[in-house]
Amino acid sequence: MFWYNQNMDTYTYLPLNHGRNMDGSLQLSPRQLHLVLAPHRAQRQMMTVLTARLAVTGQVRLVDAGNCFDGYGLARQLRQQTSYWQAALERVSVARAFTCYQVETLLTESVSGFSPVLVLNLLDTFYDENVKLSERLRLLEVSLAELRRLCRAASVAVSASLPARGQPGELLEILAGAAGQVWSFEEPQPAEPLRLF
Amino acid sequence: MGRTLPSVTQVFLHEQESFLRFRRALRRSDQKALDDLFAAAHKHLAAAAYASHALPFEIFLLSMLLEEHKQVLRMRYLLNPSDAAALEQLEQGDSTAYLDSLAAAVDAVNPALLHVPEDPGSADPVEPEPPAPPPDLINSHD
Amino acid sequence: MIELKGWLLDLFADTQSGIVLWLVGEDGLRHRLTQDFPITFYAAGETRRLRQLWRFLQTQPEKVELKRTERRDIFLPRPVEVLEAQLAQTAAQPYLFQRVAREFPELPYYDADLPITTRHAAIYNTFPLVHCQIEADEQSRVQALKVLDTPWELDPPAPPLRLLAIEPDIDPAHAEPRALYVRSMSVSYRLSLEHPRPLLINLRAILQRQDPDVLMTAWGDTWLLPYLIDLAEQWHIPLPLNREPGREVIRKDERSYQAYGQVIYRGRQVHLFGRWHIDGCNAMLFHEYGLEGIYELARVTALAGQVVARVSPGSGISAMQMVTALRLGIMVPWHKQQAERPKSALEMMQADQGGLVYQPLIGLHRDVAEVDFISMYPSIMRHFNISPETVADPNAKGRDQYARLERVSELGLWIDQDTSGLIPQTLAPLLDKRLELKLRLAELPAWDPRRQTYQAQATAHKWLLVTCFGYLGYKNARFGRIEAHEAVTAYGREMLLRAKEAAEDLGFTVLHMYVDGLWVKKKGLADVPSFQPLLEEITTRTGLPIALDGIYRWVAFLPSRLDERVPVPNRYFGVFQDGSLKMRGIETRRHDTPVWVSNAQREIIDILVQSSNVEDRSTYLPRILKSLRRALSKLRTYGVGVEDLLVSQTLSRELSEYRTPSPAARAAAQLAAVGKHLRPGQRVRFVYTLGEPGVQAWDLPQPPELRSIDQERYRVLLFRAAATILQPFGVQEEDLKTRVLANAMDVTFFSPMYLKG
Repeated sequence: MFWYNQNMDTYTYLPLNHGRNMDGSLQLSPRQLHLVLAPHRAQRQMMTVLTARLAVTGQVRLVDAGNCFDGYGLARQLRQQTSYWQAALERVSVARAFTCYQVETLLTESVSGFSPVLVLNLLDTFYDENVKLSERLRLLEVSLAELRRLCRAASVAVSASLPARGQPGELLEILAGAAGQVWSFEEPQPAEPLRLF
Repeated sequence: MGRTLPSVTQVFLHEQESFLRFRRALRRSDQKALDDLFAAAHKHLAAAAYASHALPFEIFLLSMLLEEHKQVLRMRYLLNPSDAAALEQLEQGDSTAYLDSLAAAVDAVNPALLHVPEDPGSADPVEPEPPAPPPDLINSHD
Repeated sequence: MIELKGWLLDLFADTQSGIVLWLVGEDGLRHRLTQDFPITFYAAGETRRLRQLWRFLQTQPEKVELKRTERRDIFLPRPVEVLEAQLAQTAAQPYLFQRVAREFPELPYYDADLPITTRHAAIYNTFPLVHCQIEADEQSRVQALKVLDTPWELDPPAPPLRLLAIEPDIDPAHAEPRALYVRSMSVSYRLSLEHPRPLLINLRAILQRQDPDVLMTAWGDTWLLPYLIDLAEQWHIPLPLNREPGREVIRKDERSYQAYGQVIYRGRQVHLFGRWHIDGCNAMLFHEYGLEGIYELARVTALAGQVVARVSPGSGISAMQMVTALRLGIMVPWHKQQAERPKSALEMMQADQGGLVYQPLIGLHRDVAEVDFISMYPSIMRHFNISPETVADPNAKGRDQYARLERVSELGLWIDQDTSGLIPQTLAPLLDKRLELKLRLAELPAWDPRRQTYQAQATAHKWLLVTCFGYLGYKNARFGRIEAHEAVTAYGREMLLRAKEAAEDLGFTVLHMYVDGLWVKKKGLADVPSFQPLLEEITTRTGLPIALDGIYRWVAFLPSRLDERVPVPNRYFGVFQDGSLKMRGIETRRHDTPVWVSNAQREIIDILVQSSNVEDRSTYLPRILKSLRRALSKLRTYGVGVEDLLVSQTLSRELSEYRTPSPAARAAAQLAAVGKHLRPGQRVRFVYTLGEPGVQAWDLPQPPELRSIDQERYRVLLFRAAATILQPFGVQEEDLKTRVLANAMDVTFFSPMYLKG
């Protein structure tokens, strides 16, 4: 998978290895819009680990755009990283958006600040076919503009999955086009079974 | 609408599953005992949910301990059959009356229950009576 | 000037301008009137864009009155600057708005897409079936309108509606209908479908003569009316289905959509002008409350009868909120814009919970009282003034800015108690009526003919109230707000715990609790008056109304099917002192259980209920064994009809999306092969058959044969259903099987009963 993007500094393609701690590869650069592209479960796990790592040392702002915030997973991660895990948990603020309109509203209302912003599963609500595609595209463009605004002061990381069968691919293309750093994780292909004959 | 975090039942199942490897390596009879512990914790899911603890497994452990302790109390009372009435109330979930009678029993003339005799010979010659047949009311989860 | 008195039957936009009203006159006639009815909508946003919108609107063909003004948005503390657009051409407003929204998609719009009846209700206090007095001129133009009753009265003078029922002689999905049955109070016809011309001529005559106000059909939306309309066109014999001359009927397409976590299927629809078309097979919850319920819903929600019959209760609640908002001068947003305020992860864990659901004490219990809060969540919303605009964010404004703030138990949420919220204002009259109706029903003797009407109305209210809570948190609800939803559940948990504490303080044992109800018992207490102190104590501590649902002679809380030690909150059955049964979660209550199994299970329960001593197995077990043997023998000798063995399951997704097809999917595939395509959300009926594919769909041209039924599969279902009931009485499934099949009458074989005294 590859998108051409003039603003893109780096594009990293990595195979998913569920056993290994993938968190090491997700280093956030300041004032950058990062995109984590992975299947749902992996995406959720990685963002939880990333949130935990950031929360140990400071505030983190989460925008849950896919109803996938893993509170208990986050608590477990934090407990492994620090004995002041409860204080760390309180440094994580979460706001949920259940429709693409709410995503746009949330991002528009977000105050520019220095603490990192993580958006979980940004495109989930944009695949809702009850809203016209033209409207969804418009809302996505506004949302990305807001993310770019937030980027000016803080690091921003957005997670998303590949569109399923029947879902329009242009939403992801637009998102990837706006990102400065893309990490794309794909399931490794199953090895060819050995054949005797 | 808007439920984001898994329900307490889902969390419980998730925790139970995370112990499957441990369970597998146990002897069959030990596996049954472990299952009993989880079944015991299952009885207090509502309270666990209300607790809203960030690490729910700690509450599940406490629930297991709670039920274990009830077993201990049950057995203590089985050894003292005159308290069968209080035991019955315990079985019916009425712990207030049960705890009252527990306190009353301790206050009453039975310091020997708690007293560790220095000289075995001078101890109260309490011959443990054969345990009364369990009332027909014992809960299925014993 | 003509003065008319009657009941409002229908109200819709006229083709040119204004609206049409159809009145069922006290004089026995049906009157068609028109009324001026300009529509107003608003746009907010950036001034520059609003100026462009202003210019755009001036270029539109419709004549629009434009104004700059300030109006209230419920989610904002101060009134908003808006552009107000008003047009006299009522029917044109939706089309104009469509163009506006396309050209200026980013602007917040208000009052843009409201039902006409809702707007009319807000201004004139009308509603479908309202009794009113109208002054009209010679051209039947309304000059003055006065309503004579409200939706909240218990016994309003009922309009003398004329009903006509039309139904095919068989389910069209199952087989080709041959005739239509047409019935009214006075006449009854059978019209053959084999001869279209006489059919159409007769039908036309009947419609003209009977001139019904309500056309009741079976499959009218999905088959009957579309079929008749096509037929009429083919044969050039138009049918006066509409009362309104010169109009086509309104047709809507079928659709499947996601809502409330499941796939819902809505068949296509046919709406009429000037009369109501109600399709009993396509009406939402029709089996719950029937036509009387639809009348009540229309009155209470101010939605047209044809609409309210087909939409979910959520839309009904939404309409009620809109009427209240409009009357209070609050604008109704076009889209839900509001998003959640950030909370800490810890606060999220506390807030994101539902009601308290306990694990019951498994087994059989005697003399148990069930005590329930009356409409708990709506009562909480009203009592604690919870509404999207009353949920205060002290951080935003500073606590001293609010006159009176109440903290919601342990959450970081405060509710502004100063002004009555939109939601409590909307719900109050409904809650009051519900209570009044409950009291009235309790007083009425069993034979009183009004019972049926009151019952239907009560059920309709119940559905509205049950939905309003979920709607508060619904992502698309215009006046929804997740913080409000969370405040309600938090209060719910708090109040249930206070009720538990009250019960325990008064010496009761709490056997089970479920969101808004408790099951309690106390030794020696078995009559209604002895529970009165408990009810009073709970009301004192919670401020919420609570009632005794009933006292069970005995009730059995069932364990999980997978593990007998594990209690399950929603599976139980019991018999009240008055002999009535209450069952939850067991086979006979489930949609997918075949009738044969369901009946067998009911029979076992009935035998148990009739038994004089539920502790002595010999008083009921032999009869139960006999009953099971009878059922099995009937199955074995092909005495059970195929209809009674039908399993009915919902298709959860498109056929192509199944990786391993469920039995329902396999049956649906069979139907697809003969051209009957089912959509997700629709039910598939089938039987289990021997060999592959193991199922046969019911609606195939060739119905399944008894000899091909997989009897073993059904035997398994029967024993499972029987074991469900008998397990609390000490009878295990394996033992039961052995006993039934071995024909022995020995009952001492079983393990001790789990009787709790």
